[in-house]
Amino acid sequence: MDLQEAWKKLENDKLTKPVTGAVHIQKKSKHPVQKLKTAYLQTTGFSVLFLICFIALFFYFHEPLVKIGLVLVIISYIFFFITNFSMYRKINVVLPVDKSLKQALTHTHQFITDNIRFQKRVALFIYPVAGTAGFMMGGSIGGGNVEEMMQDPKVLLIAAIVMGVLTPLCYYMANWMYKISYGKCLVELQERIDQLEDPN
Amino acid sequence: MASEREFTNLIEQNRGIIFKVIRLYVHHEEDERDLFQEILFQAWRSFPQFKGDSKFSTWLYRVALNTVLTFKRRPQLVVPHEDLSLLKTSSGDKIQSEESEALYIAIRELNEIDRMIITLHLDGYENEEIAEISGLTKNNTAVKLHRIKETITKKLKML
Repeated sequence: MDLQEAWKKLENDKLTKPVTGAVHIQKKSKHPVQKLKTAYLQTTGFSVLFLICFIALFFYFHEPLVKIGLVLVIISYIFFFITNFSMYRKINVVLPVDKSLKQALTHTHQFITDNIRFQKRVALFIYPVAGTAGFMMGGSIGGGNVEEMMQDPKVLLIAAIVMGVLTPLCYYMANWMYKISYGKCLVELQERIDQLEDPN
Repeated sequence: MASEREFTNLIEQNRGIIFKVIRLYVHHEEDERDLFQEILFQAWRSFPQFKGDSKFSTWLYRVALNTVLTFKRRPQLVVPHEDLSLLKTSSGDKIQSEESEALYIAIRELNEIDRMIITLHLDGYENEEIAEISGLTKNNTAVKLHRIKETITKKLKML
């Protein structure tokens, strides 16, 4: 069989048939990188929402220790908001698609991996601070004196255990969610990079 | 500054390239539509960087391939080997246009990188150009191309 001849026929008969609904240039990307950008915007929105709630709670609670805890949470969330918003603004959904395939694949893989790693690190910093403040708020709502409560070694031990369980649990939950959202995409990108690097 | 009209005209003249890349890599109608739009989006946004050093068709081919291969697509549901058997009728006669159809199936059975290399080759690109588009070395391209041709020939002989 003459491959070139068969290819020409294939091109004419099948390959260049128009795609249904292919009519205009859209203004929005559906690329995984765009998905990350949207996720940053959503996280920024949520961090503003949580900030408002924590500020309201700051005025609701009167115990100094709870207030200190909430100030720490508010500072953390301001940091969370700034980092997320700056990442959102930095992300460029235009990929280096006019470079070589290897460059485009490596860039996309690296970009998604770096951003997930960044999000997880920031979250790891937020979980214990928010957890501790929540623990103290719980104590306050329960009617106890938070300052006395926090001096009790048993309560401190419970708080430490709760943080020790909650922080890694939240971290692994986030990890699992990222795996669901981007895991397959990253595996496929890596497979193609490996195929390109394979000498045979 | 590139104008939208200039871009649209160039796309109009070369849109067969986009359709071809999509037909070779996509298996779902929804993915086809999404990818067509995504390729146009990426091409339009990258168009200011197009300096005319290469032909527009080569540039668009590269953009289309890179977009498709970095995009998250739905998995292929059809088992390729089952497709090969469909080419033969019960009496063993082959259906019309069998050669091109067999080639299509053989190409679709290749891994995605090999598929790109062979289609560029069949479209008349030199090894040097394929190397530049893929990011492989020229030697590696030649080695891979030789192996891919052998694989395809073997598969086609099986029919």
